[in-house]
Amino acid sequence: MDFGDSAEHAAFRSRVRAWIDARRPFPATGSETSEAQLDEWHAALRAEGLVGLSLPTDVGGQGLDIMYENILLEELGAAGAPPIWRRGYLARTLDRFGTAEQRIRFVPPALAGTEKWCQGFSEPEAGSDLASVRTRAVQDGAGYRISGQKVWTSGGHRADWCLLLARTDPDARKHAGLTCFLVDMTSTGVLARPFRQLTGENYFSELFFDDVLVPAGNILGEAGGGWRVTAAILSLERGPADIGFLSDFQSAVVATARALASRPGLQTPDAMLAFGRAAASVELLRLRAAESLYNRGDGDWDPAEASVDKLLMARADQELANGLAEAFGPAWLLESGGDVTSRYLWSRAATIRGGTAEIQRTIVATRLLGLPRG
Amino acid sequence: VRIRLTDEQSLLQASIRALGHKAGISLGTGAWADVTPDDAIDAAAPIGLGDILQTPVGAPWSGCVEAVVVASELARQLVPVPYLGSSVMAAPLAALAGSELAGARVATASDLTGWAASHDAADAIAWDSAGGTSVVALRRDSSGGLSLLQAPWSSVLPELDATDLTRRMRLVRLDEARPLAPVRGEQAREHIVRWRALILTGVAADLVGVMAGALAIAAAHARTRRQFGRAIGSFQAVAHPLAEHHVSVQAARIATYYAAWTVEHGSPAQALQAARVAKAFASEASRAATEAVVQVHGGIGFTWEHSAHLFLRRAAFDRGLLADERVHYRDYAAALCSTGPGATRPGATGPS
Repeated sequence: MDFGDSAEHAAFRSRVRAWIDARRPFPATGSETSEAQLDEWHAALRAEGLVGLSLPTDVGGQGLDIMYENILLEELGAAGAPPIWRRGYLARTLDRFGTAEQRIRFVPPALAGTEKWCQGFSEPEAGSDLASVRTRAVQDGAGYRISGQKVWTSGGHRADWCLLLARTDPDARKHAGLTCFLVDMTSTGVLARPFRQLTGENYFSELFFDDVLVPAGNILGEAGGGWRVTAAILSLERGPADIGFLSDFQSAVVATARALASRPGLQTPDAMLAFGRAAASVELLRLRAAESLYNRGDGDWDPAEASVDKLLMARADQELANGLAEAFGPAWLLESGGDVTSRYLWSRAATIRGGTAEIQRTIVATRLLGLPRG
Repeated sequence: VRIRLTDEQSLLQASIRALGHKAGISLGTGAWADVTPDDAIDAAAPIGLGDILQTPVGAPWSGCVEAVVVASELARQLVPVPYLGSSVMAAPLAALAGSELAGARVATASDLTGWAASHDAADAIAWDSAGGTSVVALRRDSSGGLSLLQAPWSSVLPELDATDLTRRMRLVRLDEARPLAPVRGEQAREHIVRWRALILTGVAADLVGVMAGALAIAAAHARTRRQFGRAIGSFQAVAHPLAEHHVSVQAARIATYYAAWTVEHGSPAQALQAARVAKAFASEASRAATEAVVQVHGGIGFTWEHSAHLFLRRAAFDRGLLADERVHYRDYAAALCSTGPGATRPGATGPS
């Protein structure tokens, strides 16, 4: 058990720390830092060679071991800097499942941020029971014609490409008849419509596909092998490391410590208890994320462990939001657009998105604790 | 970096697990045996538990992660070896006294929790004191400094009938104690801060074992106990709480390893912060976990014969020992606010 940096890791950490420190003051961060701000930050990280650290160099990555990702996250978080870009796990999926042509075509612009991706999974009638998706893809000559509706697509209305899960074989077993497609969002018949969440923002979209033609070369993985790709994406999405939440939470802890330090009157026993519990939950997540990344890098990793990561991430998200609300007192209730309000409202999604907490608990119970299925 | 046990550490874990099969109070099935500390101490002798942790004054410590592995694994099967009391808590204090206590089987008696203050007859509690022959204590004197005391075993009062049935607790009077050494100078003060971090981590490790041991029994019960024609573990009302507590065990476990590693490799302030996180979270989570374990067992879990209450009691005791999560969350927050998170940020320690 060794949490220390190797000489190479330590050198990288110093370099990253110096680079981050030179970027102060940072753009304001919140639980949902604006996409434009994140794009700008992503471009700066990219220019410094800090994007795709553990992806291969032939697709624009840095070819480093996965613990470099962990160092970057820790340093961004500890400095209170904006988080990494949230869609990194899609680039990783394209790299892992793409053909040689697909990898070279799609991963570099995805990493560069010049092509934005969204994920077309959930449907109005397929939420927790994702494998029951009804969006149909029917073979037509050298391609497929796709029709159906997707919902809860993060940034769908700003995306250039969609990684879409559709049913290609209605007669096959539920999980066997699915295929993943790479769909150009400018194709005829695609409509992306943002809708309003309980926070008041339009972050998610619903997508409509009306007889959209997709070339067969844009299948990701194998025809009929869509569930395998989906499961891999979900396990990456469930880890705190690939989606930028971890460093966002750490930044919030840093900002809160600063705010409380500058106003000692706020440091009541109740506030300190709430803040301490919140900060500790983020620290637990940091340690768990490092452990999961290490095991993943080593190839010794059960994807069911991602559900532990996800449940812990949801706890940290909600503990943090509730903790900040308590620590700063009721003033946040007067500011609907304030950071505490935003963080509190957004934190309710933590146990829903990327697979509900109930689904994660069932995975942990059946696959890690060996309990029988209901 | 290697965020996983080494082969040697896994081997040590396996040898403690094997010891537990011989000398554990918990049989891992819900049944339990009345193993005495003397039986367990004899059975553990070949492993040489006392040599694993090395805490010299003014020199790097070693064996902290191994000590956590041992403490967790002993607790998982409720092996009544006084490892935490003598090797983790007392020995590093005795190290401050040079060779004066060499050879004695020492029990710590420090009023670590403020509990003794509620007893008129005593000044301190010798916690996990089985097998002790001498008492080492840390006391704050009237000038605010700390001094190290040694008390003869004659000043140890009879065993307490404490909540935790798996370890021995005794009250201690310090009026016959003789001063060993005042805790003076940077080196000694740093030693004490590291020791505080170590003992918080040790109790957190104990809690990790308690939680894991209790949950394993509950999961086995949920797999086999049938009602309404099916295993009760197939009901989400049973399965989901167990899953959440499994998450807690995993979080507490990694926090405890990190704290132990930081006691060795970090600054004293970093070690204390890491230990506070581990102790606070393990305290809070183990109460919830062991309560759920009683609940999942239903009626059988409320019987004397089932081991669920042994885990519940030990978790409650450990939670209060060295203060519960309310104190440690607050202290953690206060340190974040006073030094800034940067002072305890990761990677500030030397390369591995």
